[in-house]
Amino acid sequence: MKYPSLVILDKAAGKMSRDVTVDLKLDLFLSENTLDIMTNLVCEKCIAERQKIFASLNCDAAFEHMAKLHELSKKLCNTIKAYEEIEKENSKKAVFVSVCRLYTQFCDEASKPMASKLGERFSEYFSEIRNGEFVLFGDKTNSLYNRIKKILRVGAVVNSDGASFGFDTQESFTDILKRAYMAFCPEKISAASAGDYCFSFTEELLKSDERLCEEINDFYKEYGAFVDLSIAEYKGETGFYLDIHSLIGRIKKESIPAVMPVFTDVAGITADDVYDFTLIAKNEKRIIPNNIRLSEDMKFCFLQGANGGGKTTYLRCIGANLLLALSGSYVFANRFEVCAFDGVFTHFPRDERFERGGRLCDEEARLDLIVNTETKKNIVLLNETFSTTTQEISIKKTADLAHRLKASGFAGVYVTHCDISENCDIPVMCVLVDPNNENERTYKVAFKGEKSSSFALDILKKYSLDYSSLCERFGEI
Amino acid sequence: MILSLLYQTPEALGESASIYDLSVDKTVKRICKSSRRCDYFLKILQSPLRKTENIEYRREIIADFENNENLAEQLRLAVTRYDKLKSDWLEMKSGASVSSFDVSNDVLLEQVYSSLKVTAMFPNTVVSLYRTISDVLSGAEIKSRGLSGIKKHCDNMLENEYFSDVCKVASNFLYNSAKDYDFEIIASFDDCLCSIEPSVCGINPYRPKKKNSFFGLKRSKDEKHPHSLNSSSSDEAKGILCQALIHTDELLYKITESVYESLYGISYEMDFYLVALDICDFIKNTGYEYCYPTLTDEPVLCANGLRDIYLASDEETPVVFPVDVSMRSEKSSLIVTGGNGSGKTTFLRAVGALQLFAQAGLPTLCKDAIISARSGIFTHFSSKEEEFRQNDRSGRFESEVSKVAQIINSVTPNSLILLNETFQTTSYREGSDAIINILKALSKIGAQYIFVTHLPGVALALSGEAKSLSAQCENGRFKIK
Repeated sequence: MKYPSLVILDKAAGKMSRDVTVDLKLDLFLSENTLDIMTNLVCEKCIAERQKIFASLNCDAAFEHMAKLHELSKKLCNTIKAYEEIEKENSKKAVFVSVCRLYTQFCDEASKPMASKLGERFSEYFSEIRNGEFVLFGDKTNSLYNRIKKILRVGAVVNSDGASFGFDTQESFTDILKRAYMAFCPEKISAASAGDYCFSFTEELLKSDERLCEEINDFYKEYGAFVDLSIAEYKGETGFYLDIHSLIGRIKKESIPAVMPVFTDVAGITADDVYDFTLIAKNEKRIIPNNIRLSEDMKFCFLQGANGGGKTTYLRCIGANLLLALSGSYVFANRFEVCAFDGVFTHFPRDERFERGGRLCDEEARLDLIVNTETKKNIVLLNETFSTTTQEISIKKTADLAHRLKASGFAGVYVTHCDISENCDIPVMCVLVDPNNENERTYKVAFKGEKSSSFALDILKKYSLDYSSLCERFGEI
Repeated sequence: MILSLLYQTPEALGESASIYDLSVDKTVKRICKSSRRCDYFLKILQSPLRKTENIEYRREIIADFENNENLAEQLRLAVTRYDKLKSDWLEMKSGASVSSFDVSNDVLLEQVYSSLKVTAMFPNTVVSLYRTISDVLSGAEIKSRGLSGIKKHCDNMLENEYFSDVCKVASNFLYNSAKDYDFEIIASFDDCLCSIEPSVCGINPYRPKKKNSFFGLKRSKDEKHPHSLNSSSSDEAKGILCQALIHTDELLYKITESVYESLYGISYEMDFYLVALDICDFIKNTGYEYCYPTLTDEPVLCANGLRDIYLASDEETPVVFPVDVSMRSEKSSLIVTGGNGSGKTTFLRAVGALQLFAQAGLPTLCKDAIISARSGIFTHFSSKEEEFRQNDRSGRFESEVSKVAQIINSVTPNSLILLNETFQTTSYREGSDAIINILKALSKIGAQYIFVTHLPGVALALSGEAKSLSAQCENGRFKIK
């Protein structure tokens, strides 16, 4: 794109696999386009500039500005696509006039000030191109556009024999029905669409005004190269901010706190009350927050515990929030300190459709790519890797892999059922159960050795119907 | 549904499982033989009304039906036809659906028109049923706000200008097929000039092309200089016409559906009243005294000559003895003790049914009564052992505690809680201590309760806040003193 980017300050710092976003279930919340941008990891400086833009979107004016830019770039994208596909000559050039009109509107909007260095660079660029030539171009565009628009509103009579146009029209049934619709129906009305339209009709309408066709042709000759069509790429960049902003709003509505992460030089993550917001997709109403303590000697750990205890949820909790943080966004936690990782990896179970070899071969091939990465600040989230081989092999491979990753400086969490305590010195976390409640799962995670939080009276206590609980709820009784 | 025969004003309805504890389901099924109607009736009964105006609203409607012979049946027939209309219409619509395969625009036009023709019947049929319902209600002397509201709605819709326009538009598409018409359309392009928003603005009988003219299309007024389109553009214009007709179809459908929904469902509500009328007939035929309780805002439940309707509906019970109940003033809750077979449970059931029926707008089996509409009605009747799941590891006491905990979590001030031998599944001492604390908590919340028990010491421990009653059976007569 010849225009200044709104998402990358200089260049991408690293490239993450798209599978990571799928493993972390972010594809349930964010568009393909947003996920694509997320996979380009950027430097800390760029993250800081994005954070300023995300923060500014809480202000109505900044949000409306971004939304307008997105809407215009979306229209530009669609119109450019139509322009590129149309084969009929006059229609193609008429749609080019429409592209030019949208371009001028976009430039006008883009020249308004915006937060952060990314935003300043963007608005300065568009302020500068709005010179005298641009003004003349804009005037000609609008004048021509209005004439085309006028000729393209037409009354026609259609019957089984064919069609003819050029009739005066009376109030349409649609107008009558729309009035009634407004009176009776609460939802927004949708417009009719002509579906797959081939522009034959447009072509004939335009041809009926030869002079207009000539003017369109002249305009096209003069300004055909004036607009760089790569401007439509702003659809993705503006969509990225709006998409994540919308996600933040949606999750905050569930009374989950959001905070702007703080970036540090310490390789790891230290965070309090972090939420796996992806559980919202499962309509989970009670999401248990967890702390993350992955730093210094403890930056690579095992995670063990009962099935259904929340191990995978904990991995997603770390990963999904980390990706938001690296995108410059808010995260769902009360505190989140993190370093600007340039390598983020996940290794989650895949289905059995392997190209060659078995699951173990596939796992090892994927792991090789992770271990041999060229990036420096890496984090990996491993979910039951090597769980489908024999216990003996599994324990050995698990311990070997963990040591290799730790030695390579990886931060991360490795969920495993293997009893690896005798084979390595890597710290182990576990999901806690409540021994006072038939070992009920708490979905809390802590390092091993940390204490977990704790016949008729016991049952009454369990249901808060004992004397003390009742007094606590209703006052002295 | 916007209009309702069950609720004058919307209210947040709670759900009470009490109808089963109080055997109201069995009672209703003894009185009304239609199980479908009974099921609906019981569903409504499960959500007791809290607003006095809604209770009065139902009472007025019952009175109208009682005072106008055959009105309920005639109205049921009309609203059943109305409620069935949409399913009939959808069935017809499914037979005229537009093909999802690629077809020529000529074929598509015929399909689209056929589908629109079915849709176009819908608004006019709705209008005719409004007329029928209005006529039925006009033929009776109605005083209730509910039935008057239905009549007024029908009359308003018959005179509604917008809906009248909709019917007129629909009338254009009722007959023949697409090839029999010339369609006038307007093609407006969107802002990007990439797509067309077409609409139909006229439909006239087909006039074939005459020799030496474009199409032979001669318009009588304001005709400019029509240009005929070549064959590919004409075909595209037919495609545009199809989209315009599809949009017309969609608008007609949505508008009519929205209008239709305002009255849809009344036939189900009529089921409630048909069962209610059966209950009225039954109560009258028992020969016992009955009344519509006086409603008050005070937290009161007083009744004289109260009889258990469950026993009254049992053909094998020759006579049902009346009891009195008074829950007012400071000591408003009751602890009822007594030996086995002394009538404690019957008393609790009679009080519960009185409260449920009164809060449903129904007559009750007592000489006179004054009650308040409770914010919640809760019951806990100790269940039989076999009702517990075999794999339930928690045990019977825990199940009881769990149910009571649910009640405590839901209770609000002015709730009524009826407890029958709760916590007798553990030791007397533990059970007594536990229930005393809970009953005290209920009083603290501002709820009233009746607790039937064998547990010793409960009445004494709660003597400051609850009146103690004793159930006795003397010479075959049950008494609560």
